[in-house]
Amino acid sequence: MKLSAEGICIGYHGEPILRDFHLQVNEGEFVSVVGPSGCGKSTLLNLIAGLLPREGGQVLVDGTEISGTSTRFSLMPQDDLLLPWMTVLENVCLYGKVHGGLKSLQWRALENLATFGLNGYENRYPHELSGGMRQRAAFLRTALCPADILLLDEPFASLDVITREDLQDWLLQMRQELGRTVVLVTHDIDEAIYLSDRVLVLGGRPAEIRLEQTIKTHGRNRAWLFAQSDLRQALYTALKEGRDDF
Amino acid sequence: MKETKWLNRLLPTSVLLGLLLIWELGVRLSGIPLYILPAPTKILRAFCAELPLLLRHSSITLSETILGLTLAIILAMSIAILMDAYPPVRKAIYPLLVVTQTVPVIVLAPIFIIYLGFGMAPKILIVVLMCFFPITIPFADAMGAQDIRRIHLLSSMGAPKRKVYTLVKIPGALPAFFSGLKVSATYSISGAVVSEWLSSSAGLGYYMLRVKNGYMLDKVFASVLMVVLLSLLMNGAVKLLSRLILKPPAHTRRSSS
Repeated sequence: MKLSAEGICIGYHGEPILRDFHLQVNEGEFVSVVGPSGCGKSTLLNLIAGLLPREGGQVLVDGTEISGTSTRFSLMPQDDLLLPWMTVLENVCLYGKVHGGLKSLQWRALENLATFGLNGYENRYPHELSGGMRQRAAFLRTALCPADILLLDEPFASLDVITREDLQDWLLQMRQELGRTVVLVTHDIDEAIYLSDRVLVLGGRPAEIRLEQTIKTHGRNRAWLFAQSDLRQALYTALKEGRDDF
Repeated sequence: MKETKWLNRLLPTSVLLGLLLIWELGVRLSGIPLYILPAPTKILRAFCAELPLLLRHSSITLSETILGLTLAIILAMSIAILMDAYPPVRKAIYPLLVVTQTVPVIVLAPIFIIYLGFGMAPKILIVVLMCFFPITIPFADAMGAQDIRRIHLLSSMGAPKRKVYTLVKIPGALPAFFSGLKVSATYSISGAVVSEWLSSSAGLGYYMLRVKNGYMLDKVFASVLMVVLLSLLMNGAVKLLSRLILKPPAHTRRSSS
């Protein structure tokens, strides 16, 4: 599914955050949005997800306008937001609890638990899981929604470096299996380079796209990532300029 | 760890036994007559002798209490959900609820008796009025204090308002509900007993008043003991219920990392 946001406008306390903003994500594409804290990247994601009312513009999926929330999108927030009174299996099948079809969703969840490193934890409660496992459970919950477009809002920001790298490696593998359109919001340049087909750097106020970089490669790994110093430098410079223009 | 737990139980028990011993010895040595202060052993004997009668009256008091408490729970949950779902309702009702709490419910009992007669109805109503407030307010407040991000998560899945309540707000507010219910359960028995004092032909309150008028102090104390036991029973029942319903236990319910 192709996602496009056209002429998006939103403000906060009278100050414009996004003004006539355009974003286009092709089918199956993995796009990262990088920007300094508070630049409006999470706002953009929440606005696409229909959680914030937009002051102007349109959100389109394959040319059809979406207003409000939609099951076309599956949002993964920064915090795992697992419900403490539900087991891991109940949490990852939350979509089934909302819309029905719980049984079949549970089967799919059980089939996928091993891939998500949660095998044997289906009947545990969230407080019994480590930070990384909670985040993977939250990701499984997102992936089990039948949405065509995944919106990931800094999903690994609250994790320690090692766990974060593990989950990035794992997400890289999952990309092929998921085969879905993804918009990832992050403030981590390396994470953006490592995972995406295209990186957008947001900056200034109201926010605008300061740099757009397409990344074409077949062999992504940590050594490849380490060698991308020019790309990293370019993104870093754009990010810094974007922050200075706040 | 185990030793401290054991000691924690032993200490208050021995203080209680010590006090009872002083009471017993004081009454026996000074020769205080029964109609002024009965000794603990006398009370216990009266309790055992009167047990069938006490149980019969208790069953009436307990029925009033359980019926009243059940109605209070239904009323409290409905009002709390209404207040949470519709802010104008909250604005209209909340201040009134607080003001009604300044009225000691028991003074309304004569009015209820006029309209509802001498049966169980006025007692049940007193229990309802005494019990529903301590449940309503914490439950409503806890629903309002649920993490907005959890609600957003459900909204992003396209969940209707009903599902937000059944999946997030109500389960999230259950620990507060149970702590309110614990307070109410303790009030409930005393509410029923006191309203039985005012008018009744059966129940622990009625029994208590009858033996008091006959200066049978050992039986008065025996009925007090029964009231204490019933209150403990209600409290224990609520604890058990919360243990069965709250999964996992309340203390493990941290917000997300």
